[in-house]
Amino acid sequence: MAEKEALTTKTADELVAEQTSTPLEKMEEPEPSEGKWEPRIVAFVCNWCTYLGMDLAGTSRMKYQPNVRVIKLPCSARIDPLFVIKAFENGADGVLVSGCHPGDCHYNTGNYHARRRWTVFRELFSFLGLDLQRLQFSWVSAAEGVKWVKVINEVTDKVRELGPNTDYHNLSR
Amino acid sequence: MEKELRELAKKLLESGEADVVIGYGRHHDERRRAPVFVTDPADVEKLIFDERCLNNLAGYLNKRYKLLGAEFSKPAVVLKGCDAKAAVGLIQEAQLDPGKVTLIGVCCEGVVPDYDSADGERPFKCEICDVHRPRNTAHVVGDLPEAPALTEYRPSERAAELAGKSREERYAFWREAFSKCIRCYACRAACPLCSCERCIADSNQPQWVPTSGHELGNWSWNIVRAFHLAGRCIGCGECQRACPVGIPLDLLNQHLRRVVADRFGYVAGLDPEARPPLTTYNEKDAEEFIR
Amino acid sequence: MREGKLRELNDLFQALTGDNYRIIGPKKRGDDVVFAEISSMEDYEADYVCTANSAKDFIFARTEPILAYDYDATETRVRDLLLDVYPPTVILGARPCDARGMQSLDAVFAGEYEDDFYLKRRAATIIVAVSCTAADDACFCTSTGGRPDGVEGADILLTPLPDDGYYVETGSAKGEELLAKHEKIFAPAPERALRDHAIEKAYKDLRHDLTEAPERIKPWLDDFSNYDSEKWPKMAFRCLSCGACTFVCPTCHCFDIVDEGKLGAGERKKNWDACQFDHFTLHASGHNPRARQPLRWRNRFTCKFKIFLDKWNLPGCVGCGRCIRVCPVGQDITEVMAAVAELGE
Repeated sequence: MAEKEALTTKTADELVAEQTSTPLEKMEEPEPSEGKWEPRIVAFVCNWCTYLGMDLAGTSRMKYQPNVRVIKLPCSARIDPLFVIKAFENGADGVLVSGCHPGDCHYNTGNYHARRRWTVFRELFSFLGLDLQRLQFSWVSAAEGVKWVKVINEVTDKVRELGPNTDYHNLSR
Repeated sequence: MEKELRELAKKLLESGEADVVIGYGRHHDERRRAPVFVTDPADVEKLIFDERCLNNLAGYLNKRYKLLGAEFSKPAVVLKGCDAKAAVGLIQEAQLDPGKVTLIGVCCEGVVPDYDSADGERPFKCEICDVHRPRNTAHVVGDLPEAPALTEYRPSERAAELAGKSREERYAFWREAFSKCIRCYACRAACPLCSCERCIADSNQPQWVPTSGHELGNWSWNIVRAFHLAGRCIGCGECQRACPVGIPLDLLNQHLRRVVADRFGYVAGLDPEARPPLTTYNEKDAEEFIR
Repeated sequence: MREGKLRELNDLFQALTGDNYRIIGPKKRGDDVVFAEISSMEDYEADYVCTANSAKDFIFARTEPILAYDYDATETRVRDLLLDVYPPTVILGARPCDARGMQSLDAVFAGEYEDDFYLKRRAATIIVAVSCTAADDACFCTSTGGRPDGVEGADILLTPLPDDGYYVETGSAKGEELLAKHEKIFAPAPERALRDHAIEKAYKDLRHDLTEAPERIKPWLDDFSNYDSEKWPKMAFRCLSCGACTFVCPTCHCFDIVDEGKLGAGERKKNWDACQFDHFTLHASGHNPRARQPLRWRNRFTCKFKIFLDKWNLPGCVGCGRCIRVCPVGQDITEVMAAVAELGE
């Protein structure tokens, strides 16, 4: 069967890297409304809560803005701040990081560790003069399809208001 | 105090308790001091200590440097109070077996900011120092009283001033600073806590941190460096001193030291048994920024 | 060789900018003086011994994109990125050690092997060196066969005269052309003795104990039984394996080729590399013949005092002292020179 040939020997890290490695010109543009610029949002989500919450939103036919590219990790604890940086380097205008509510982590304590990491990382981000409004965090459970839609729409609207992420786009490469 | 230090070094070498004493010695430039590796008891006269002894010698104990087990198996290291905190950090992270090294603390009233400074000038770290008498070392040479341990962290005026500026001003500041970076990694080499045998910046499958010296690569490296030291940096300032192009690296570290002290009540380098804050958690950690 | 006198550096500056040259000169940046683009003589910092960075930055770039590629399911396209944007440039205020260092770098990239990027930049660059009237603790050019008033590698050498102005000497056809083109700003050369007197202090400041060292060092390095000498580690323990010395050195030239690519497109770049980095000689198998830092330092020293001479009969070290000034732990190549010279006796 053709599927057998599709098995990959790549590691999860490499797959993530590929997914965030789309060059600026090649990322698919969402349908522009009246030819206006549309923000690119990257969402790093955990597999057990937020991803399922997203799924629920989808199967419930809830509509939300299509600007987001979702990258699924097993747990919010797996989200290395370096992934966030890579997302911005590769053209993201906004990044959302989302996991299970405290106490609900599938791996018991992953999200507690993640929370500490994010606390420190966003301080560094801000101290460097980068815009924290472009870096958002949420707890979205598997039952919170509605919350997912709300969060995505809010983040997308906010980033659209802020405009393209020139702080990163303008860095020489 | 130098006499006491040399006698101790001699004793350690003669008894075989140490196979090398790593300390400070003269440099042919009179304003500088440099690390010396004394293996012969007759050479202990080389060891000196004064306000120009700037290097953090704890770095020679980290795995990246590959000294232990390769060249020497029982090093003794001369450590100022700040340097000893780095050794504590390495012990906390199981990167250093305290049974295999002899830590020689030296009482220190402060050092000059860099070799070009006038005698008596002091950097910020000396103003807030709580380890004029080193802690957590097997020996203490010299005689200064113990100061109360830091429980919170006050950043320097320069760091506080920068934090108070507008976002655009901060961005402009760091853009200018990082554009000077030549990616020599002297900051990494000088930091005792940068101990990964394979640094993420050298990892090339995939290449997480671009090796190129363009702004994107420089921001990437400097962000990673600062973040990976969060909760671990003990504030010796060697990164900044080592930088050949004058990037104020310690400002980043200072800011994160304050964040970690404020949010998690943690100051690095005081307790070898403590868990660094990013390796642990508190169920009640604040999360006001999470929707 | 032509000689002359230049009354004011600004005269030359104006003449060169009039010819649309970009001027790189010594400029204050924080506590340092660095080679950087200057837009007027007000930016030119005359009071310095040696810049923090070397002039190689402008010709052997830190990061040089060399080609671009993109591909899809059917085709791969490659295009050269030989930049045409390097403007005609004058490095004004280079030291004789910088000029000499450029000669050694020329041997690597513009000799038997021709690096298009280097050649293009080099051809568009004129080096106007200014003799040293003082030296600091880290300088040791005379211990590597150089001089504080040497003309090797420079297109024009200016020596500051005590009564004002500069003694002018040309070092190449390029220099002679420049002099001829701007005859008006040059006067006849004064007595050479004046010029020699001006640099006496520099000669006095420089250390004299190592001038014979290279002759004794080379045979010791040539003798392979010394390769594994236990003396090596002792001479280099304090080195931390950063790349600071390599990156400020006028003759260091190692580089790494990387592809910075994404799905479907990318660029190939040439970046500075350093033999001091711990992974420099790491093989794909995991074996590293220079796994420990004393071995890497041995390589650095050997490259400068033997390999350069064997391959190109040019100095691998010009005695500028930048590595000594910049090293966080005071690793001092002159200490090693003295130690090895002693062994080579």
